[in-house]
Amino acid sequence: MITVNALTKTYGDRRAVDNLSFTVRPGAVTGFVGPNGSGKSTTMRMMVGLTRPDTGEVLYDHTPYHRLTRPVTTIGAALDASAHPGRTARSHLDAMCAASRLPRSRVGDVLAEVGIVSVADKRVGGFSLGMRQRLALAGALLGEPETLLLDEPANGLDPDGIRWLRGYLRDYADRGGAVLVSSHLIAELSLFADELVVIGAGRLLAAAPVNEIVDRAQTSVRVETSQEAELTVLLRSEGIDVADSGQRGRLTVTGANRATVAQLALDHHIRLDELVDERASLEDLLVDLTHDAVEFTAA
Amino acid sequence: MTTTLDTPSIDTPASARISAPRRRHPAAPTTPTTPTTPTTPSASPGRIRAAWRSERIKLATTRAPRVITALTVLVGGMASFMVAQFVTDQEITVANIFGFSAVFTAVFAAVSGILIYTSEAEHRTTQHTFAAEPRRAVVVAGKTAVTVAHTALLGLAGLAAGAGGAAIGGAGVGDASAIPTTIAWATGFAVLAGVLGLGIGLIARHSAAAISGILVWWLVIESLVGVFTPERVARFMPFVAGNGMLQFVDDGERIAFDRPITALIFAGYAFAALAVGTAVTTRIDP
Repeated sequence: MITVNALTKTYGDRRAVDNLSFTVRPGAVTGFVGPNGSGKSTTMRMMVGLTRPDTGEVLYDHTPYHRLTRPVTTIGAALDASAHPGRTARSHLDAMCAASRLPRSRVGDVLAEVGIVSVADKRVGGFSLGMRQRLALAGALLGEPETLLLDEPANGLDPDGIRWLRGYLRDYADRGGAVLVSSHLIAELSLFADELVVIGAGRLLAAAPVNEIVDRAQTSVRVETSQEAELTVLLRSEGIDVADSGQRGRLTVTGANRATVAQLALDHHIRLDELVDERASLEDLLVDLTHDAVEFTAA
Repeated sequence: MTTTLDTPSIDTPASARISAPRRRHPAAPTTPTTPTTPTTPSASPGRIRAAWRSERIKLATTRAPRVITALTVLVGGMASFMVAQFVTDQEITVANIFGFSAVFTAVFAAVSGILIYTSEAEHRTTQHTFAAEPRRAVVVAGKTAVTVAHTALLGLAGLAAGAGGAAIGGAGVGDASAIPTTIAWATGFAVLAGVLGLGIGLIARHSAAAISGILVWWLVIESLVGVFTPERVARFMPFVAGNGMLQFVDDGERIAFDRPITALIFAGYAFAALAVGTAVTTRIDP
């Protein structure tokens, strides 16, 4: 298990990560979500010792990263798809293997595992971003680590690749591994993540199972009726919020469930044509959560 | 040549052996407990050997070292060939001119040392290196060992090319008794230039800045210092001292240091740069 404990990092007068704490448990995919500039990459770099935190620590079963005997067997990190363009995929992994005192046979294994064995002896400079992402994942898998730490691994992957990655990470967690994966594709993450850690402006906004976060979403009831004026007056008189959906005959009701709306309409002889529960999507919810922490927005 | 893949060829990974996450630890408690004393990583020699092996693979699998070696051979050979061909007012033999190539070789050795770190920094592969080996001083030790081995071979290749160029230029062998000494000092000069280059590369972390900086210092600033300051001062400059290791200096006034002293001065600069570079690498995040 990874324990991130009160991490703080400041660059100049800008606090990139602010007293951030969360855990990543084995057997689960944990999504790491936040808007651009929220501190996700800085946090991940601190988790593998590439950036020194001002305060706080990251422990792998109580051991800091720099004290691990062979870090790559504990945590496999793919923080970006960087590789020397003049080197082949195989020699890139050979060098990583040697640095970690792993058998070179692992290179062939991981190349096959991520599906790029046929280009193993091609120079990385000719690879697409998706192929580089697979190479980065291969590097992370070399040490058969307990934990995978992936920063935006779906960038550049085609739909098939994204589906494959989703299945792969799900399977990795199901076999007992811990997976921490950052992504700005929230809908994509919700398809396979068990837990979410949401940050904004370097601060923790939420850390909970996906279902729990979804349950926090405000629900509303969509009503279609030819008597919208009467129904609006009725519901508001009961203290229930009613919003005009912008479509004739359609209202959005919040603050009451479907049964309440139906009973009130029945009692006052108002005909309803449709009555549907609507729940905000995970994406809507996370946009709401991180709204105040968005650093970069379009004009 | 860079291979461009028109059609990304992604294999079906279904048949591959699937990496299994290691589960060496018992199920961890859900609430943090008091941290226990962690196991200290294994002894450094094994880690340094691993870093050296990794650096050796990196060096052998990129084109820059091969290009630099080819240039060393070409320039070293050409220099001796030209001297053998066109200098007529002195006795020219292979034994007394093959070491001329060492000056050029030292330049290439310094560039090679620079690139051993800066090419990693520029392609952002340092993060793989430092993630695999969090003790950055161990990585620097591995890079230093590879730099020493590579620049020693570069020095020998340059000297061999110098001898070949002189022979092709028509020079006789001459008195061979001084050849081993020349080989030793010239190779030492190349190695120390490589270590100096590595140190500067670790500090600058940018190929163009480091290479242009060292060349401007070597070829321009030291020359100007030589013009405007007494030789008693100039002899302490790094490359004046380094060149002194080759003993091509016209030293009628007996001011230049003996070879061991020049080697110590140049080595002092080289290892000071390496020490500062190591400190920078350890303290500044890649």
